[in-house]
Amino acid sequence: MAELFIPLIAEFKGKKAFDQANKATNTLDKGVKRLGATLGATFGAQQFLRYGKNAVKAFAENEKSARRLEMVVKNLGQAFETPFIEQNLDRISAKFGYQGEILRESYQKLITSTGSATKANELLQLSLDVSAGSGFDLLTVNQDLAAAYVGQTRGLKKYNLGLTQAELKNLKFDDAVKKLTASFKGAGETELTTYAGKMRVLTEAADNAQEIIGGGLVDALALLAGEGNTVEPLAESMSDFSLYVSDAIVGVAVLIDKLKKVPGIGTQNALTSKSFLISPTTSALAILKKGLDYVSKTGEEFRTPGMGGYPSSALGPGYIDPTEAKRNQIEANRLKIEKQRAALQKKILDATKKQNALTKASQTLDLERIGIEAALKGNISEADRLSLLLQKALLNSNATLATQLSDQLEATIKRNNELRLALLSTPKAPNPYEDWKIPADLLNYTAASLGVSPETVINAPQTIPSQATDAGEELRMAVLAALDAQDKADAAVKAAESVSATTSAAPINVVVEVAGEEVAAVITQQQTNQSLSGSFVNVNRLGRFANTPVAI
Amino acid sequence: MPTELRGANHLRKALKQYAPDLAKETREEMIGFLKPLVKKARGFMPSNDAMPSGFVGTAEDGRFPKYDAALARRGVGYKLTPTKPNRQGWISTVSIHNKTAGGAIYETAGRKSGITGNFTPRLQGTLAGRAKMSGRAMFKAYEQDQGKARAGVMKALEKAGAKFNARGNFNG
Repeated sequence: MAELFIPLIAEFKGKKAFDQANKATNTLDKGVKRLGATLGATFGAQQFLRYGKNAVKAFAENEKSARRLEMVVKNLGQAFETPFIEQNLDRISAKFGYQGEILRESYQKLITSTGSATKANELLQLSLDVSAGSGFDLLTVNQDLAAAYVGQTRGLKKYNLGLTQAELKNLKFDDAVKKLTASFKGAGETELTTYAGKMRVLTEAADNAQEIIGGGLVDALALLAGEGNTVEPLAESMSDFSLYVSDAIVGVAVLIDKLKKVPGIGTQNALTSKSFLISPTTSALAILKKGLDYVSKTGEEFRTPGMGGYPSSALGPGYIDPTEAKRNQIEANRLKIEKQRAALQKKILDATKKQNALTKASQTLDLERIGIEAALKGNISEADRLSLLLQKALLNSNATLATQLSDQLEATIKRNNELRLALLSTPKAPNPYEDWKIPADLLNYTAASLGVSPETVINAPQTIPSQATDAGEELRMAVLAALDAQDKADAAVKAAESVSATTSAAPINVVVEVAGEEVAAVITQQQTNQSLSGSFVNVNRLGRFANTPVAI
Repeated sequence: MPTELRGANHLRKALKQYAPDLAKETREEMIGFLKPLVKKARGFMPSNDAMPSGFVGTAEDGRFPKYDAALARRGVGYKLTPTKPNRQGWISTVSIHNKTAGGAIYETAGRKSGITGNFTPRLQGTLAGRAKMSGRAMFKAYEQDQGKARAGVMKALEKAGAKFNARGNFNG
């Protein structure tokens, strides 16, 4: 028995027989040819395997996205729509060249927002035009449409619809759709005529083919895996299967090679020539073709098992399709929700308007404004009026008016200053009574009535006796009294200051006397008298009873 | 699967001849990676009690081989010298082996025909690894090692090569 071992590090030293064989040119030639054939087969098998892997991967991704969308649609209660949705998306994918995964994701956004497959279909159609026309990718466009459907129109700004920020904010969804349609209608179809559009369609067609082949491979390998179709035997079978298929491909290549050697096969009528039909190789090819047809048919039957049932058209005109009824119900619900949403938006708009009105009203209660308005109503100078108006304009943020008023105010102040200077420069007006002489008899009479000499009346002011009744004299007397009081006050202050300076540390005793007696004694005596005369006096200044002896 | 490291044999010959200290150091480093692997593989070899009674004993010439736990464990080891080229022209510079017949039977029984019949279901342990690299002891240990030993040995050889070249005297 051979020894079991695991070579960890190995090295190729070359075969002895191989070295010997290399010595003979013919043998070497044969060896190289064999090597070439082996390499070709290996290379073909590897390529096939790589393509197969990619195909299975593409199929898996496609299936994953399909399952996700199916789940979403099912959760929305519209599972019956799934085949129609898939059919529609396949049609769009084939026509416009978008990947199935992208279309499904886009559609998912729309159906989640709208809740209706019909509406989602409409919007997806619109998004194809918008995407082609605006240059934004399909997913972004659908995201914006889905958001706009629920009132978030901010995303539509990038499409330059000619709307202001405020207009965009209050834009209704139907209006947004109209705007977008007007701007981008037909852009999707037009793009298909461009080179880029055509390339996209062709690429998607190739990808679709790969996905279909991938699906077929997965089915085939699952079948090869046998009972249970589990992954592990499937993985093991994959290797054998790929080898089997690669051998088959090499076999076909050999067959074609032999076919080329058939006389006349290179000509245009080769396939109908007699030699072709009677040749054993071509006969084998015809049988192989029949076999392949049969295999393909079997595979197709496996892939698409019969749907069964009858088409709705076969059930007569009175038949009501339950799917259609459900669809109508969903559409009605959607419209209802849309109306409710519109009503809510209107409500919000009204509330905003009310809020604005309240803000405006609150301005009228502004105390500063009230003060300005009140001041403006009073009898004020031109400069003050302009100042107030300017302040008001500043509060209202009215720049134009504020500038005007500021200019006016400046001009007024300038004018006032000029007037003041003019008044100051005006010479003093002469006293018109300067040269008047008081008649002697009037002077004597006044002096006699006042009880003073005539010289005193002329030279010095005198205190008018209180019996004087003239208002002017009374005023004069009051002024003189005030001046006298002022003088006395000044004298008192000076005296206090001098006293304070001399006795700064000694306490000041103030004795209040009434009619030569201390006030406390007077009050006590008064209360005692009142008590004796019958009036009730319960307490005196010191808290004693009236009959208590007073010791002051 | 083995990894081809071209010139490994020449390197080791050169080391042995011109830098014996480096050769020894490299060898010890490689052993450091191989010993745990061998120890683990020996650990998967069951005791005699755990084997079918008819299979345990001392092998006689011309008879079906028998299993002796001690011998089987001793039969698992490593090899640092190059083997003879096989029919495809490959030599292995560093390898681990399971030499005894009894140990090899325990290692591979059921690998081709499945765990069926009267013998293989009674063997302890499970087959680990894939296809021709599957087994119960050595291959299992190698599978669980996840190529760490192989990488370590390669690194040791590469390091030795670099050091050898760095010494400069041998580059011509």
